[in-house]
Amino acid sequence: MDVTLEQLRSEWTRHADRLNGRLSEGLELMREDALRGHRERVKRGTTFGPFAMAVWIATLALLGHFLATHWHQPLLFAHGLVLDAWVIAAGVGQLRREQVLRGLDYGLPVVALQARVEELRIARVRAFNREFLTGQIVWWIPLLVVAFAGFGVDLYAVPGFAAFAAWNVAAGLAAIPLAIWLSRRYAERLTRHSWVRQIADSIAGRDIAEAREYLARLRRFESAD
Amino acid sequence: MKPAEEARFLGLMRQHRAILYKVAYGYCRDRDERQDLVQEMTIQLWRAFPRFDGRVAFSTWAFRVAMNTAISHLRSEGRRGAVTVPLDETLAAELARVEPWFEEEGDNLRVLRTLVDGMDELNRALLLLYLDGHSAAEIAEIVGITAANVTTRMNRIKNRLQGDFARLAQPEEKEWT
Repeated sequence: MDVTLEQLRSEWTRHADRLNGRLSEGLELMREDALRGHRERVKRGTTFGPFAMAVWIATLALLGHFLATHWHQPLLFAHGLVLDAWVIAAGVGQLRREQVLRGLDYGLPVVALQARVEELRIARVRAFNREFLTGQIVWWIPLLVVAFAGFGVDLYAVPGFAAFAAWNVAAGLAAIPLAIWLSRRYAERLTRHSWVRQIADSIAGRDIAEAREYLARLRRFESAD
Repeated sequence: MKPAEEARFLGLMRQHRAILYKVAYGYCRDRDERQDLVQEMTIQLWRAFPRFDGRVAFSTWAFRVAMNTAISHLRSEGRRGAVTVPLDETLAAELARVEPWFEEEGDNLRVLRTLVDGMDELNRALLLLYLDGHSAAEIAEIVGITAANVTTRMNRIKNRLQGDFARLAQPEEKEWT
């Protein structure tokens, strides 16, 4: 059987004509109200939507209140400040990434847009790693201290807590290289679709390597190699 | 989008919405996934339209948006910004009417589709646009590479497909003899 691409092109033209026939049967579709429906649903479904935003602002307000009421207690103030800085950085980072993602111009030529998407992917994975790994320190002792202080309990007044906190922070710092090592060594054995596997791939740098490889492929594609 | 702009967009979409189904044909086999993709392309076109400045033809621009959405859908990264929403009922009705079209292709196109499934998403874009009758210059404008590059790559695709096509089509021929 010897079929040329030109013959296939003619067959495709006939096939596409049948599509046009089917589409012309329903010109009532794609109306304004359908489009407005899409718009409303898109607004409601935004990832960092009103609920997430409200939680973020409420957390910032609570931490702001904590800082204002504990400024005369340097140790507690410092813990609140660390937590506040982390929450601000994570929230602002997420908002900026979403803004950039929403601002992507899909009308750009395919190679240019796909390269932009991959660059964003690298930025997103890096930000996730940064937040997840620094979170190993911030989410434990500072959160515990601030939460208890909010209810009027100074954990540092509890005998032995200072030593416990120091060990915990040290363990958190040690957990960073350990998490990277474990991810690189064992991520392959985890289920492909599990969220654990996704986090492990991200920490191990596999996602970034994959994105870089795709960027290199796009460059080769552009240069006809 | 202002009402006049919206009306202009809808008018253009009525003329060119076959583009969405052609791109979906090239990038999606699964019926449900195809419905998601067509809806996602529609939303992305609507979102991107305010930036359409007429420097390229609307069909060129619509192909860019549809292909970028399909490739991002395949690679899943672009979907992070996308929003999964229930299928609009008017779009669902249109999809139901168009759905049989995806399966009523002739034997040659069916074989070609199998081969296309094995191609990477960028070469797939070139082949789809070529089949749709676009010139090398038009394909270059949509994909974002030079026309000379398009010609070189299309020659490679033609050579590769020729052999693969004969090999894949062979067993079916034997069954009929």
